[in-house]
Amino acid sequence: MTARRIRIALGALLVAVVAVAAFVVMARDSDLPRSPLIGRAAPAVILNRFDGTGPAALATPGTISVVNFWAPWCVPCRREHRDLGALRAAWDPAKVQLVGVAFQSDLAEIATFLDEIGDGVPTVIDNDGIAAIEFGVVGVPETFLIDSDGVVRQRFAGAIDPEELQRAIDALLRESALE
Amino acid sequence: MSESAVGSWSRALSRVVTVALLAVVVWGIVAGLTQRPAGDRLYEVSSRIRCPLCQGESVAESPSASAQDITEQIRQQIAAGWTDQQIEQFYVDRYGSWVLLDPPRTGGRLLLWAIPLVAITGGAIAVVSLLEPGQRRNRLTYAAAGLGAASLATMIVLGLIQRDPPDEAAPPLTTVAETRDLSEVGNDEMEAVVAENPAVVGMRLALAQRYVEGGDLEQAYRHTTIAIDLPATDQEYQRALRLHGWVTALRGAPESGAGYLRAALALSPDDRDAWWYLARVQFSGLGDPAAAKETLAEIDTTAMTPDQRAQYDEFVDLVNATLLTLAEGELPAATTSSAP
Repeated sequence: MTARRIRIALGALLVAVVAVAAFVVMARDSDLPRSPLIGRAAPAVILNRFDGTGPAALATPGTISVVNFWAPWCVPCRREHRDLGALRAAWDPAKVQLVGVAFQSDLAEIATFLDEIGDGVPTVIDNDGIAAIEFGVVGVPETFLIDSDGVVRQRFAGAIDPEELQRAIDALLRESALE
Repeated sequence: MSESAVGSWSRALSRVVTVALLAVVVWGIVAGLTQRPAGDRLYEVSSRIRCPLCQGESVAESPSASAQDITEQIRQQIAAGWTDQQIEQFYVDRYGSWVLLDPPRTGGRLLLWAIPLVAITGGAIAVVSLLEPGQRRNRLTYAAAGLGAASLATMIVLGLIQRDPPDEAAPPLTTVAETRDLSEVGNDEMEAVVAENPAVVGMRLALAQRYVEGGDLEQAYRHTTIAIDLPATDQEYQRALRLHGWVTALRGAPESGAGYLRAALALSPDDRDAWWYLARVQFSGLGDPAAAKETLAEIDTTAMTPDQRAQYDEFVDLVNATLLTLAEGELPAATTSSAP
């Protein structure tokens, strides 16, 4: 066997290995792609408030809106709900609005959850999954950051890191001169 | 190994293969019998949409609540006359192309299809190049070359197939949500929401539109006059101008209404509804069928549903008949037709 043939074989093998590695990486990255909503107007969805005080819009133009999808059966949502409630307490409601969307949840379970965790997050009910579909939600918790022009700017899949969310909000406040 | 041992292994293997084949046949029959009938459009469409929360199966197959929500929404979309392509685009617009179980083979996804073929070709070349020259190596060389050429041809064909543009634009993002949600919300409740969110242009315009459809022009006008002064995106401002123009004209000020509609068209010359409203105002409010005819010509070639086309043609016929009557020295008959 000549050295030339071995070199060709090794070269071809290298191409095959690189291709397989690229396939594995690309297939993994495509599991949760960037939300198509980012950079586009937030869906205009109106849902009923859990406290029975009527319907509410998820995004409020003129303010930054944080829309958090959660469910009482979701374990990571518990800590996240406390974090969001604590963050909201420090926000100026004229500049930043938070709404929690209870996704496919039993009303009694929502009540129990809020009793345990606290009702620091204004809650609306999405039992038909309309809002979840409109926002392309793939799991709970999932959070969308919408700027004061009503444009979706960021999606946080999984429980939010409070510091990361606050940094993103601060950046939007600076950008929109709401600060 | 003795001859009898080989025969015994061979018989055992053939039994295993026979049982496996029988199992496949039985599974095929059962699957065939339990399959939904062909022509069940809801099932066909929903079986092409991936369940977003379970991901491994289609919404047709998944028993999850999320999949049921989407199936229900698809049912409504089909009932509303959406095409399969519009329905698929609706979900792609929200989740991304991965939500289709057979996603378009373009861009990165085309690469995903191509890479395994590159890997197989590379592996084949590696094996062939290690063989001694001879007939067997030649045959494998031809096979590897053929595989490479077939891979390339497949990629080109797939790329060309997927490059075809969609034949119809997807409906606006909020269509289904508004249809389902807002229909359950009364005007009083909407008023309360608008009062609480006075700067939300879209909601105010939706309420104004309701009043127009209900014939309450004063209430509609009250909201549209506020909407055009609110800080808004370009798109919202354009929609506010369009509705305010239409309402203003309906309230008896066609000149002013036409002015707002032209302003809306200056911002968005492709707005078919604004052209339609302007033509109506020119014909019925300003008594200028010639101008209405010119305006209608602007949207003649745009995509319309069969109902819209019928309505458009009917109005064009009316305008033409009026122009003919005018040419003969008679006055046009007034028309009361309103929104497109």
